[in-house]
Amino acid sequence: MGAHVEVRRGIRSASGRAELWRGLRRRLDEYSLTLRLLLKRPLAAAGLLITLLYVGIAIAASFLPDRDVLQTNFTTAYPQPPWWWGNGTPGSWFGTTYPGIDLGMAIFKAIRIDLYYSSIVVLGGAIVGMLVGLVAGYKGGLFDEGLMRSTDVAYSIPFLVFAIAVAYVISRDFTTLNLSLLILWWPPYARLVRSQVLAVKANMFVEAARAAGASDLRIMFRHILPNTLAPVFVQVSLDLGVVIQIFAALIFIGFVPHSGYLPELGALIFYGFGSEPTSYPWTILFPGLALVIFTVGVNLLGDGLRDVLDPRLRR
Amino acid sequence: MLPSDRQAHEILVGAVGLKKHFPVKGGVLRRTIAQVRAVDGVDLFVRRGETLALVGESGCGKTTLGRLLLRLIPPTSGEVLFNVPANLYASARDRWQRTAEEDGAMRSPKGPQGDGLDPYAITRLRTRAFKPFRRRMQPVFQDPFTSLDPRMLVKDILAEPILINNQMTRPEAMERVAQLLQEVGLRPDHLYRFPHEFSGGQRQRIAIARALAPEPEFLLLDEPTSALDVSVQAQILNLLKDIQRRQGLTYLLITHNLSVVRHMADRVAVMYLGRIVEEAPTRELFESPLHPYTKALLSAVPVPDPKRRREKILLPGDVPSPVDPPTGCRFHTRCNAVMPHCGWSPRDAASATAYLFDSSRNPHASTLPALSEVSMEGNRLRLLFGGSRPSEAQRQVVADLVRGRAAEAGGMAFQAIREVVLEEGSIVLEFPPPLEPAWVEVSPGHSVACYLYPQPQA
Repeated sequence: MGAHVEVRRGIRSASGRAELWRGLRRRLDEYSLTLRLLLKRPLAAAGLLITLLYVGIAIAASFLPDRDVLQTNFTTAYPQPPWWWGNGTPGSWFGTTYPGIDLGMAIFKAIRIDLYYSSIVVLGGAIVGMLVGLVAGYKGGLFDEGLMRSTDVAYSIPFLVFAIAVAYVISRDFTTLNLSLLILWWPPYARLVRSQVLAVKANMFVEAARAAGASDLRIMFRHILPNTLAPVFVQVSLDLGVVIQIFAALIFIGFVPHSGYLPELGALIFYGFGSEPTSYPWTILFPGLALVIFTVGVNLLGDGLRDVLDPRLRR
Repeated sequence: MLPSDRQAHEILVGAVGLKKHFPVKGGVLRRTIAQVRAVDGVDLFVRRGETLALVGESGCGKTTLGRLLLRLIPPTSGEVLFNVPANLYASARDRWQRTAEEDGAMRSPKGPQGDGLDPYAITRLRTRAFKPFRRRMQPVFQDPFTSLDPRMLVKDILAEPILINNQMTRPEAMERVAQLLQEVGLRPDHLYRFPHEFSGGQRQRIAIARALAPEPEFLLLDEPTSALDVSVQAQILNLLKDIQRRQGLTYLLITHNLSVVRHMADRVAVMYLGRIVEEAPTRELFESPLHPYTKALLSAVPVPDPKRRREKILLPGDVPSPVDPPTGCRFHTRCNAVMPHCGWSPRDAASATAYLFDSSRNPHASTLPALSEVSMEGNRLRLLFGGSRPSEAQRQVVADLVRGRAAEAGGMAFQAIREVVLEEGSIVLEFPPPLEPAWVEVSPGHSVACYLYPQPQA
């Protein structure tokens, strides 16, 4: 008897797995269709390529030992040009920057740091904003009013000023900068998601789910949230570039720690400026280019995603 | 589950005194400035196993009524009863109508305690206690393009209602889902597709399958075919009929397509501006409609024969706003059989008075002092003549003018004026107090709310 039951359960769970597996495969097909549509657009494909390249660099850079970057060349205190730059240093592709740091390695490390922290800021903001917008849009009424007015308040704080103020109060370092951005990054997402929720909520499938007995939580997270994600993805990819630019801007105007070395693109430009940029242009040119290319890349990707994820263009 | 559920009663879904008023908010403080009376006192019942059609033009509250019956929105007042004995429903309805006459709008959403309805009234249940009822009443909506979640696979759409209600384990649910799909005429390999891969008709089949998934007893069909191609409409309707025959389901079919009604329904309820105006077995309604509104609706059904011409009844004007519905019979402003006692009020006469009693515009009113203000006070219309106190002779002039206007075409509102009196330096036109026509059963099962038919003695 017991053995019989065991066998039955075995068969059932196997067929259950098959059903889940087939469903998952069908979903993956849908994503690969999205990807194919994206790759059909040359600019979007370029954006995706650049983004992936940077992600690859970031991953690779996390395996580089720090000492390679801080390979201080004490023979000369001046930045050395790359080998293809006039009378360059043999073996160095991107030259060195002050104080004797290998620029190529430093940029690789900086991309890792920049991508990592900007992802934290953007994803953190997106998640908090999504929750706020979802609840506000779904519940409506006074709840909505309260949440959205506090969103307005948070939105009205200029984050550059806020970041500087926080730095003044706490300390002038990179962690503080991240923290202050993280605190202020959610309001646009809250608004974006709320507007989407209001639109999706009006669909009859929400009413049908309620009629079937679905709880509010289930309706919010199973039915409404997945239908609001497309513009969030777009916004996230656009914001990655924005946050990196803010990092660079703040650090360039002196947000670096007084002592020590921070492998960050803005910081690298700042170091370059500290060492006579007219005589050693590569010290600001390469980190600057790395920054620009990344920003252009994620923007192209974001624009492409906007087109591809728009259901009106697809179905 | 309520104790009454052990047995099946004759009336599956019944509404008594059901009202839904939506607030209109305005101003800086978002205060409620008006109420849209979408559903305004509806008594309606659906017998177990029958199809009741609910017809009426757009905006008359059909869909809101449907949503109220499924408790998708809470009513402003009134009750929804589920699986209730016929005699209990009838007595609840009588009691409600009596109390509604006594204290008009003063009704709590909960009925009087100890009236014996507690075991049936789903509107009295708390959300948690109502949950087991949800699966027993399922909707099919009009637009199959928004009624299916675009990010879910068909198998998940269909399995969700079953799994939410813990009716089966997941593998069992999957078997049932495949079976459901076949029942509505789709193939099992359609399970692993997204809704956007289907045509409108196929999507509506999926929506029907989803409604059937939790094994309901009552289906609310909210214009199930009006978003579909004509060729597909018949297929869907026949499918619904088929399912009803096989499973003994009860349908409430909301539609404005009368040929669909004739094909599907056992009984018909006609709705106008938040109220039911007529209710009859389908055949009888089509053969001998009683309410002038029903007659007009039926005359608008196209006849597929170019040689046969019928007299079309064209209703003048638009549907009045449900924010401020007409007094008395709500249809009196557009009715072609209207009478002086149908519920005319100062509102219907006010715009004409500005000309009629103005000495500067109407030569027949030249003996009257200059008209300065016309104000409505309930069922009285007050005429003020810029400070001067009108005399008895002038009252006589006004009374004559009223009589003259009443004799003209479109002067019905003036026929309704009962008296012209002199009061506090002004002249007051008195209208009868607004009364709504009573719900009269003209022949068995055929009821109508219209003054054309003998009213019960008050």
